[in-house]
Amino acid sequence: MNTVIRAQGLSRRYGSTVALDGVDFEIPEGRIVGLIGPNGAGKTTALKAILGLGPFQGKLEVLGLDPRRQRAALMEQVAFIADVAVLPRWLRVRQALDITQGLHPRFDRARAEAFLALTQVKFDSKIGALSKGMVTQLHLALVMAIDARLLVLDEPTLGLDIIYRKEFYDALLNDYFDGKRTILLTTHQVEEVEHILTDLMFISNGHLVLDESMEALGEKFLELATRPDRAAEARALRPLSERQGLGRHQFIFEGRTRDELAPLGEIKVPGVADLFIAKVRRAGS
Amino acid sequence: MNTMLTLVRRELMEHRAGWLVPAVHGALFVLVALLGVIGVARIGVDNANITLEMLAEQSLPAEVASMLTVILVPIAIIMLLVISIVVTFYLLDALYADRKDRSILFWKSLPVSDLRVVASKYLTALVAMPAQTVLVFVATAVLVWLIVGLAMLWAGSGQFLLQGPGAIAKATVILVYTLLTVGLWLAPIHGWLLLVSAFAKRAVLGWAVLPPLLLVLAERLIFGTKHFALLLAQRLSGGMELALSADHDGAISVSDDVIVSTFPALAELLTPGRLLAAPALWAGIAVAIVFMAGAVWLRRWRDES
Repeated sequence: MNTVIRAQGLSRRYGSTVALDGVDFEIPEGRIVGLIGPNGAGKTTALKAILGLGPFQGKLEVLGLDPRRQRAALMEQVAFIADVAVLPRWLRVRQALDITQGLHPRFDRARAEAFLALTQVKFDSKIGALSKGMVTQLHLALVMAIDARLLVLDEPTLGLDIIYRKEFYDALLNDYFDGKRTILLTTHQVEEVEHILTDLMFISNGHLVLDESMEALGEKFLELATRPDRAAEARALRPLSERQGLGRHQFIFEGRTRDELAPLGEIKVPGVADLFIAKVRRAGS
Repeated sequence: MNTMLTLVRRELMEHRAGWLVPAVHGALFVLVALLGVIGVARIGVDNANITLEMLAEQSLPAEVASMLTVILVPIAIIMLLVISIVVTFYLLDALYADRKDRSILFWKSLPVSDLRVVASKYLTALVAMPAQTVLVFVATAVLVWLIVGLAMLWAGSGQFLLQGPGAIAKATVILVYTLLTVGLWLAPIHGWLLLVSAFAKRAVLGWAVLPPLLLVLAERLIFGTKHFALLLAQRLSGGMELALSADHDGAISVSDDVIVSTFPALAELLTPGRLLAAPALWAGIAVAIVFMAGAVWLRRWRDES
């Protein structure tokens, strides 16, 4: 399996603030990785380093290239959307296709046009006159027609209506992802992407606090719901977190077996959002 | 090469003032020519009124050719001034607009180096916009020539139609030459504008104008001299005193009701050798390269999103 991104001791400071503090990770080919973290955790800083948009310390290889020195070459194989709703407002849709075709050797115009034909976007419209949802569809059409090996999405659906958000991820999964490409995305809306991810990375205060595949997640983390009278026993097993609600106590455990927990109540695999809160609180305290 | 063409096309798509503003001026000249020949506007030279009949009497080919050139060259000069102003504002905007509207991340997602991007913006200002201006000028000159030529034919002289192409060619050569002169001579100013455009977070015009002004003031206060102010003034005057001979002049005059017009030959008027031999030209280009390298560096590493 080829490695798409390899980071060792990836760091970046803004003045006295440490945005990334010696992060190590590897992303193999064919994965859909969600990079999840609170605001200011270092998500965007990490993506910027990967895309060669900002300086960093440490070692970083993307598709075997150095994003600092080989940015233009890297961009032939990496597509990215940072906030879908921003495209140049003065540009017409047709011109956007012309320019991308002229500048990107791996852009398939027919594919972009076919995708746009399914939408309400007109080729003669100015982007400034399109709705936010339509701009998203256009940006998606442009990016999906690029035969890239890595697609990076930074909060791609920020400020979009729920209908477009869902459409966006559906298109990504059905029309774009082919098992060979790699997608790395950040988002606030964890629930929205949970079902499409193959891997999960949590980042908090510049540190990676979790880096697991979704399959491993179900083995490593368990959520237990108990009646209040069994709560003390559950606490003795040192859970990551505890929540109370509707006469039940909910605990999230790391590294406990089903056999250990089953006698105490119902167990299931925790949701990503709950797990995220548990891990980030734990890392913060 | 194709990449560069696409990049320049992209600039022209965004900045349509590059041909619209010259086109509007061209249309005004055509209108003035029309009004002139139908007698609504009177053409007066040296307080004497020139009538169509007087013009038609003057049918010496060389005289007519000079007269047409004297009419066309001012149009070329105004187009030169107009496009110089358009280019100034274009360069200030070139590396700033997409940072302001945040679409820079879309442009940066395309596999084009920042060196190429900055080069494409400079080429647009140095070559593409001037080339558009030349096309607009030629179209304007042809229309003015046809209007004047046909009016003269009606008044009795076919010479104006015959001498037109030569005069248009001459005026076009002068326009191309002066455009190139201004482009090369103002290179450090243009480089500075690109640098400001890549640097300023807001108020690009202020950033472009204030630092040189402060430098002039500081020199005045600290040393009591004005070398920088003089340098700046000399630079902004456009290098024409080097590129054009001052000993020759074109004019239309009236003596004893006979119209006499003169226009120097191109070989006498244009002095490219003197311009290219001037160390100031090359010093300016060297400064421009430093400024533009700064603009490329800022474009590459500035991280403000």
